[in-house]
Amino acid sequence: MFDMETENKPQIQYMEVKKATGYVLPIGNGAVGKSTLPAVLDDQFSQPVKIGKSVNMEFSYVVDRLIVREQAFQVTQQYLVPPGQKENEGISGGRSFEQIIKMYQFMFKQIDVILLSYKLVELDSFNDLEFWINRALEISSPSTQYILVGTHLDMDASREVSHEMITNGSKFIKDCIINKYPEWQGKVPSLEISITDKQNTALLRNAVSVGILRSRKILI
Amino acid sequence: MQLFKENPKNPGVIIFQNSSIIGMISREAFFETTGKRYGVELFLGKPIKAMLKSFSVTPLILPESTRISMAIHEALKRDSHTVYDPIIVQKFTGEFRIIDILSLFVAENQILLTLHNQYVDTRLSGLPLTNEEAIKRFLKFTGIRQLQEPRVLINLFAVICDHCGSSVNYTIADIVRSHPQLSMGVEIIEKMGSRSYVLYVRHKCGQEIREIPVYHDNELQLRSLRPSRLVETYV
Repeated sequence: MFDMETENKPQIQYMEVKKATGYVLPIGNGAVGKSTLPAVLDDQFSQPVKIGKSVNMEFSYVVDRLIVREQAFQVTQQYLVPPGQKENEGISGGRSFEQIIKMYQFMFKQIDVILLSYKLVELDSFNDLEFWINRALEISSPSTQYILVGTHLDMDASREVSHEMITNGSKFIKDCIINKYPEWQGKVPSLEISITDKQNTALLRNAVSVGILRSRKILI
Repeated sequence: MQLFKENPKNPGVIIFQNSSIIGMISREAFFETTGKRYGVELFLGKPIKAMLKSFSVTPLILPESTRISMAIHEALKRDSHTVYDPIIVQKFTGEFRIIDILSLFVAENQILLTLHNQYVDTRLSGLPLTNEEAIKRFLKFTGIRQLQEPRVLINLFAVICDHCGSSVNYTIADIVRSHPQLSMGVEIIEKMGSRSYVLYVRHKCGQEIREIPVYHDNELQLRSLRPSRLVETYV
């Protein structure tokens, strides 16, 4: 699906559409909305929205079409959604993030985009990203891109995570990445979305696609 | 008998002989003795000394300077059948009075309640610090040097207790005063490149003292609160 910008530029419809596929890993505490993300990002195919606890790796995909620098792309985003339960939290009837990472290690060789997910209405889930970024860096590659995703934007009145905290968090994550990969360049964008009313989901879908294109060196 | 009937609150009578005490008959003991079969006939018209012969117990006499708790302690040391007998109090003037054991218990209970309330107040309001002193202590503990809005330090914040539903007001100084060990009342969280504080707001919640963990951001603005936790229960 082309965005509004495409409709205003009819000349590009004759351009070749480049295709790309990338792996996206949403991580963060349990119950922040990681499993629901692919379903709400997918505008074209209505996947059933899953609300529940992930006890194993979940797989999903989203196809996005976008135009970047006058080039049309079709990006398939392959989502790998691990559970948000940490090993030390005590797991009941499921597997922890660490166990899943060990089991599916072969799949994490080329993670293109890591979505560091948290709830805007739960400060602890944001603070815990300090734990998650360290886990993410263990399985990422030097080209992996990172996006901070705050969910529950529809509950903005109960917001616990301030804009200043998010700005500082974005800088902090960039510092962590550069600490491990000194050559890494780029930004850690932060987006606030609502899964309930799909606010800013299109922006996130495009941001993930751009992340995949950057990671695959298609877009520099 | 007439004496007891005229003064229903009279706990007993002291019996003197040549201005020295030879005994005491409590109201309960008197009616117990006269209430027995032929009890009235046995003692009616006879001097009180006759009744005293049936009680071989020496009364407990304490000076009026004796502490209430000590008086109760001494009274409870008596035999089980006389443990609730009244006590004779010797005044500084040399006069004697009788006090029943229940009055002593009530007085002791009053003292304990007062002490307890004082303790609860101390636990809640804590250290006798002025606002300025408390704020200085807070700034030293947290290492805060600059705030965009320094007035936040004297702001009155309000949160709702999840346990009793009442509104709880507090200032930064209140937190400092209620926590002599400040590390128990202020938690500094440094994560994701930002600093936030958890202030534990003490609050008298019915028969309990509870603490409400309240999150403040790096500018000390109130951001959120968590369910309260019990500090102690009292009766």
